[in-house]
Formats: sequence, structure tokens, C-alpha cells
Amino acid sequence: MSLPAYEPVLLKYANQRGMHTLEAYLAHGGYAAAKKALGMKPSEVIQAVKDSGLRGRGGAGFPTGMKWGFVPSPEKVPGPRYLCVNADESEPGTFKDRYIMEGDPHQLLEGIIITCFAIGSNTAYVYIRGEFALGAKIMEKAIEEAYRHGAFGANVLGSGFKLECTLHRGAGAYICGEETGLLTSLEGGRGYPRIKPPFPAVVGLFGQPTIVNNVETLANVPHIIERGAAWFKAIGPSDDPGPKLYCISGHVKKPGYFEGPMGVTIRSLIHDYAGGMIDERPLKAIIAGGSSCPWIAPDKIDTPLGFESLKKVKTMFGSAGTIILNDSVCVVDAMWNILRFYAHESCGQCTPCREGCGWLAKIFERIEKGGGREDDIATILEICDNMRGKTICVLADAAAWPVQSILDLKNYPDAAVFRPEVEAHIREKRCPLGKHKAVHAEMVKQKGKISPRLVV
Amino acid sequence: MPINFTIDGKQVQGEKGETVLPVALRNNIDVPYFCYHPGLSLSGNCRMCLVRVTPAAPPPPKPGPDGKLPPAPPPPRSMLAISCMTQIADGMTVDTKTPDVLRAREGVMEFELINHPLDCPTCDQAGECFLQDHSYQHGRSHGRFYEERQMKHTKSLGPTISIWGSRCIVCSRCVRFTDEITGTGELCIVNRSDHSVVDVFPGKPLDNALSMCAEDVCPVGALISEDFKFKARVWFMKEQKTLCAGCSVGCNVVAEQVNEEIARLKPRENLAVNDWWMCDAGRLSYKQHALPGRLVEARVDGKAVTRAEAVLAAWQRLSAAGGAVAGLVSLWNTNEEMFLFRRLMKLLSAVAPMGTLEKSHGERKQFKGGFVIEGDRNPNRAGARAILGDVALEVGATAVRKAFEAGTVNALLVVSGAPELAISPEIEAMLARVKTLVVLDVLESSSAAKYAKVRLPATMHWEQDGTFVNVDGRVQRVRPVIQPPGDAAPALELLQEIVNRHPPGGSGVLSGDGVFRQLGAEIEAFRELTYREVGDLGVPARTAAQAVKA
Repeated sequence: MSLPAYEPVLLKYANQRGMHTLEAYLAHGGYAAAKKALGMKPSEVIQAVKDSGLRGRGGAGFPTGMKWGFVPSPEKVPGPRYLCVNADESEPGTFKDRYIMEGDPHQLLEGIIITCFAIGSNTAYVYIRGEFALGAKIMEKAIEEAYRHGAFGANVLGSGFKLECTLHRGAGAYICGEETGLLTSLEGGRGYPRIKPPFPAVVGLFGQPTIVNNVETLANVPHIIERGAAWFKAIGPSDDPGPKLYCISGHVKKPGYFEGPMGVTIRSLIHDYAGGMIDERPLKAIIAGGSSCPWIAPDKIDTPLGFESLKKVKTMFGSAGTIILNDSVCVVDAMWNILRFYAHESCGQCTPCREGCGWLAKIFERIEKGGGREDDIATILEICDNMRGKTICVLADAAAWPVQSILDLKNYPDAAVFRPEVEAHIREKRCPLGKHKAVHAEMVKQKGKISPRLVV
Repeated sequence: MPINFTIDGKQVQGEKGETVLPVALRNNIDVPYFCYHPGLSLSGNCRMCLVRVTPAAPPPPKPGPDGKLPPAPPPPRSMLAISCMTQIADGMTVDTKTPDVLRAREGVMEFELINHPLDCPTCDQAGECFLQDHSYQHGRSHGRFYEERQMKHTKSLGPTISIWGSRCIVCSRCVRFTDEITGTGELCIVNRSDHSVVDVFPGKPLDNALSMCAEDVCPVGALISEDFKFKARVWFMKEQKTLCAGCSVGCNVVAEQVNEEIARLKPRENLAVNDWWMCDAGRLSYKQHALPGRLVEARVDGKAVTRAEAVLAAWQRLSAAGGAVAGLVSLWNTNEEMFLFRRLMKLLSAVAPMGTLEKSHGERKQFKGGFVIEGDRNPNRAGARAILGDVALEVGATAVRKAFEAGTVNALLVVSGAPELAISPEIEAMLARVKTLVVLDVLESSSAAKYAKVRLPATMHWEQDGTFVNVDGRVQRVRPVIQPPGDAAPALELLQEIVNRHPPGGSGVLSGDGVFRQLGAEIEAFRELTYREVGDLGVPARTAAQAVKA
């Protein structure tokens, strides 16, 4: 048990009672970074963020400073610019942004001020997930306080910069966490993602240049401005630096969210932060960054958590929602669970995703309930292949990745660990772990909805 | 500046801002699609039109100031992209037949069909269904979906359209149609994932003047028009390209008939007239052809006679009036008929002027997408203006009535091809009292036919050849869709037969094109025009459109 020496940055105060008030925030030197940034040139702010090497914490890990740099100049594209804060944290396994918003909302608001100043936006929207009732309440109050303090409004902190900030509550759709789906939803439409290019930085909200950033990304910004890019770059690995919030759930003793430097190993996260495996049962699978990430086998436990390091073992860091599965878990059952989620949350716009997610879920259900067929694995892999990269957004890919990672031996070496269990389900026509009864054949007979030739 | 690029090795050309799909279709390169529609915005959601796109290779590097060659830029990465949304660019290469493209299409087809009910035998769309066509060409030969299908609602969306939700492929064409063309926005997609289906908001049915176009834009059998439902299998129907005569726009349509009954009209693409659309009233106007009480036999003084006898009687009685003859022609008659009518009036050396009969005006409606329903519910007012002149059109009918009241008219010729003309009580009184009334008409119930002394059954525009001039001065063809009932014959023939009685007499009856050529020789608006030149899409009249429109 050895935690690396690390002083929390993002959660330094968030876990303390009463930190969500403006008073407490100011007592800890709040809004000093915003004042400092407002005294700089916007280009200097962008450069500082570029230098820091901050990468988006929402899932794709795109360099934040570079994204800001994509906003075209006012001469090229006149009219307003927008900042949309993606607080729709909806990836299963991820629950970090809500604690920033519930615990230390002014940290986020300060980040919003600096970002808007850097990209020349006078309007910021915070798109908060509908289920975050408490978070929305606290954010609403924090924004109100910030307005009263003069941190928002016609004259931000006396600098003459104008900034309006609005909180918008979503209605609980996973797809509205996709940046263009978020924009469509914010505009009042059905949360359908849009085709890129054009990217939101050029044509975004209401057709204007828009930056969409994750809550955690923006919470990092005031610290970069206050303490400098060099300080930030020194935390964690140099190609992937900064403080990071980790979420860990599943079969660990102390599931929860923790702050550490980028690059904490999975082993350290399980044992040092989360107190080890429940009942010391063996590890079976690791989902490193949220439900859409390819699964990895227990032998990858010493991989550092980071965008680059996880790429090397054929998975992703995503939104840092690490899910730990022990040997009590049936692979087919768990995958069916994940696929049910995607089949429910697919927006229904593109054909491959609309039909493919549901189809995959149905096949996994059938296998789990003892109705597996010889050709199922080949069919599943072909479905995944037909879904991946053939849709407007990456939801179809997100549903296909974990499935491929347990079955596709060619592209995912770890599939060798998981695939035999799926094959056993099909061969034995039951769940070897006994998670579900083998009821498929009986079900088919009773329902009579499927033609008799399909009874297996 | 045209943009040059290649599709499947063929050099093609497009304009800046165009996307790959329309250029490919224009060059007869088959790219299957569902959600693309040239008249609607792009949504790119069906994923059927995936092609492999390779951007142009970057120019070779030039030696730097130190004389060294910089490293060559990486070759462009080719990728699968939907052709409907991919902007064309100089030098790019598009492949529509590579194995991965074919595999992707097969995949999309399979996805479209897994939850589709495959009820083609009872589906009205069968035979003209994108899903069927693409399935044969691009789909798999066998299914491997062993699960339960997802069922969706089947319900009425409004007075004219129902939805069979399970057949819906959620291409959103109909939704975009109501958003962009009618501007009424009744349709929306409800639910997520494979439960997604088109619906209306409760209490706000799909009820607008263009609603039935939603069925046209539906590429599958999800939206079905109540009018055509269960009526006919499309492969038994015979098509004819003709016009809708419901108003002065002259929407280009395809009329389809089974057993000499018109089963439906569908709008036909004509970017100069109606784009891809037509109004519901026009679409249902085919029902006129089956109105009860059609005239089917020639009569003289109430007695049934042969066509030749009636024609002879018509000539004898009209010429016996010794020039005290007047004539009325409806604005539903073709240019050719109006021209022959004018010739006949001249031969009779009619003293009284010519006049016109018309249908009463309705309300003019313009839609968000630019489509217009004209208030003038007569298809050939502009033609009448060109052939008969302004005076006949504006004050002709009144002048005829005044001449009759002054006692200078003894005989009257009425030519009509339209049901439901608005005939004023004064004109009706004249028809009842005039000594000789020769009528070419279609319905027994019409005022003219009621009082006719010599009555010849004529045809509606569904049953004859001819041309109309629309409100913008465009000359367009009507074609016979069905055969006329009984002894009815086009006024085109009947008027020529009457003219042939004029000494020294003749026997030739020209076809529509023949008369049209004569018309072209005499009247500036149609100078040197032929049916061949008018073609399917029509041509602007020779005189400035404004003059014809006046």
C-alpha cells in the first residue's frame, strides 16, 4: 500500500463541507486565476493551455489548447462564439464531473470565465445531465452567486469583458453527451449527433463557432493559469500530464472517485485507492475507461492509466470510469448488460447503430439463456464490423469495441482470455456460471413467436 | 469553375458545392440510397450510399532553398464516406464497387431488414420500393436474424396518410418534407434506437394541402396514402406522363391506370414547374374521370344519332345562322381545341365575339419550400390569351351575352372539357333561350349540355392529346391516360370534322401534333413548336412569358 506523494488539485477543497459556496471559494483565493487571465491576451491564455499539454477529460483526450485554436478569427466568421460545458457525464462507470459540480462548482465557473475569454465567447452554456438534480441545484446557486459577485455579467471582475452563463438541464439521454448531439439538444431539437466536418469549433451551436469542453477539463484551466504550464506538465507522464480524477467501480472494496496524477497504474488504483478486491477474489476483466472501452485481461494490471499508455494495450482511457470485474462475473451476462444500455441509448439516426445495437443485445441474451448457435460468434463479429466507422457518431463503435475485444482474436490479443467462456456458453447451451437458467428453448416453445425451426 | 474528378475510373464533372451522390446519379453510376432526396436537406443517416473516397494526392515536394527535397507528403488516406454528404473536390477518386463498399452496403441492407416485417405481398409499396430493389441488388441472399422482431405502431397520421411503423426505416425524409417544404412540421420521430418511428404530436394530425407528398418521399411502404391503399399492385398499372389540370400551375404528373380506370396520380420531377411535389386536391382530381353522368352519345334535338349525323347537324345549323353566331370555349380546353374553335368561328364569319367559360377562383397558397397552388383553377388561361386574345378572355362572355340580348346572335357554339364550370345565371338564361345551341361537353349535368340542340360528347384532358400553357407561360403536354367512354371523342377531332363540312369539304383529321404545328405557323407564342420539342417537361412559349401571362 503506497500512495504516490500527491497533493490534490481538483478535489483539494471539494470534499470539504460547504465548499460549494462563493464565500468558501473566495476564502481559498478563488477567482484570482480568472483575474490574472483577464489581464493577459487571449492568445497568451491559449498558449499557456497548449504548453501545459492538457488533454480533454471527456473521453477522446484531444489536446484542449489545440481545440481552442481551431476557432476561426472574427474576420473569417463574424458573430458570436459559444462555450458549451459538457456536464452530461453519462458513460456508465464514470462519476467524476458530478463531484466537481456538487463539491466545488466555482472552480468550474472560473474555468468557464478563462476559457470564454480565451476563445472570445460572451455566452457559456452548461449542459448538465438531467439526473443530476443536486448538481443542477448547486450549480444554479453558484452561477447566481457568481453573477452577484460580478464574475458573470456585463463587466466580468471589473475587466470590461462580458459573459453570460446559463445552466441547461438535459433530459437523460446518453447521446446528448456526444458533443454535436449536445448542441442539437441545446438548440431545442432531438438529440441527434451531426456529421463532422464541419466541426463545432467552426460550425457549432446555432451555426456559430463553438467549443465543447468537459467539466474536468475546464476545472483544470484556472490551476494552469495560476501556477503555470510548467507546474502542470510536471505532474504525471510528460506526454500526458496533469491531475486526474479516477472513478473505480465494480468488485473492489472501496469503489469511488479519487484524485491522483495521470498515469496511476490499474494495480495501484485497485489496491492503493480502492482497498483491493472484494473478498480477495481474483480479477477477471478490466474495463479501463468506461463501458465503451475494450476489455483487457488481468495481466495488464500494471498498465498506467493514461490516454497513450492504454492505447498500447488496445483499449482507451475514455472518461476514466474504471470498472473491475472479478471471477463471479459471466462474460456473456456482463456484455449483454452493456449492450442493453447501448441498445436503449442509440439515438436511432443511423441504420447500423439503430439496428445493430439491439441485435447484438438480443444475441447475447440468447446465448446467455442457453440458445447459442454455432455461427453466433462469426455473426457477432460481422455485425460489429458493419457497425464500426459506418455511422455519424461513435456510439456504434462504442457498442462494438467491447464486444470485439472479447471475441476478435485477430485484433485484440486479450480476446483469447474471454472468448473460450463465450464458446462454452454456446457449446453447453447454458451459462457455465449459472447466472441465468437455460430457458431459451422452453421460451421459444411457449411463446411460439419464433418459427419452430429456430428452436435450438 | 467545374470540378473534375473520377468515379469508378470515369471522368466526371460537377459544380463547386455539390456532393458526390448527385454527380454519380447524373452520370448513370448506380449508388443506392434511402434518405437522400434532391429536394430535401441532407441528413446522411441511412448510410446506404457509402463509397470509398480518396482525396487528391498532394503535389510533389519542391526542392527547398538548400536544394534538398523535403520528405514527400504521406499519400492521401482513402476512407469509406457517405457519398450524399461528401463534397466533391478536384482530383479526388471515388470508388463505388470495391469489396469493402459492397460489404458495407450488404451490412446496411441487412440492418434495414432485420426488424422489417417483410410483408411485401400485402404492402402497397411493393414493386416500387427502395428496400426491395436494393435488397435484390445489394442485400444478402439469406437472413441470419434469429431473434424476435421489433414491432412498431400502425396508425393513421391524418386524413390522407397512415403509417405502418414496422416498415419504417427512419430515413427522416417525411419529417424533413414537413419541415422544409410545407413548413408545417407535423411529423417527428419518436422513441430511440430500434423503437424509433415516425409519428405526429397528439392532436396535431398530418393535415396540410401537400400531405400526400409524404407518401411519395417515403422510400418504403411505411407511409401509405389512404386513397391508394389496397387499390392496385403497381406492376399492373400503366403509366402516362401528363399534367394536372387542377390549377394554372400545371404540375407535371404521372397518371397510372388499371383497366381504363385511373388509380392514382404522382408528381413528376420538373424543376421549372412543380419540383417534386403536387397538392392533395390536384392529386385527387383524377376522380373527375369517373364522375357519374358522362356524356356518351351524340344527340340532335334530344334524339340519339351517330357521330357523323351530329357533326353534320352541327355544321348545318351553325352555318344556317348566316353569321349570327357566337362561341364560348372553356379554359380547360387545350390550345389545339381553342385554335380549331377560333378557325370554326372564322369560317362561320361570326359577327359576335368569342368568349370563354371558366371555373371559379380559389385561394392562392404558397408554401415554405416555394411550392405554389395558384388561385386560378383553370389550366389554360395563358393559352386562351395567346390564341383568342385579351378581349375574348376578359370581356368575351359578357360581349356574347350582350350581343345575344341585342338580337344579333341566333346560334351559339359551346366547347367545354371541364366539369363544374362556373356559369352565371345570365349566361345560363342565354343558353336556355338561344335558338341554336351546339355543345361539345363532358357531363350531362352541365348547363350547356342540358339545353343543347346538338350535343356531341367530348373528352376530359385525361383522354386526349394536347397542350396547355401554364401561369408562367410554359407550354406543356397532356396525354391520353385512358380511353374516352362511349362515343365520346376529343373536341380536337370533333371540331375538325365540323370544319371539314365547310365547302368544298374535306375529310382529313389531323392529330394533336398536326394541329399544333398549324397553330405554330399562325400564332407567335407557339412559333415552330412541335410535340417533340415540347417533350415531357415543356418549353417556355415563344413570346415573353410576361406577355402570355399579362
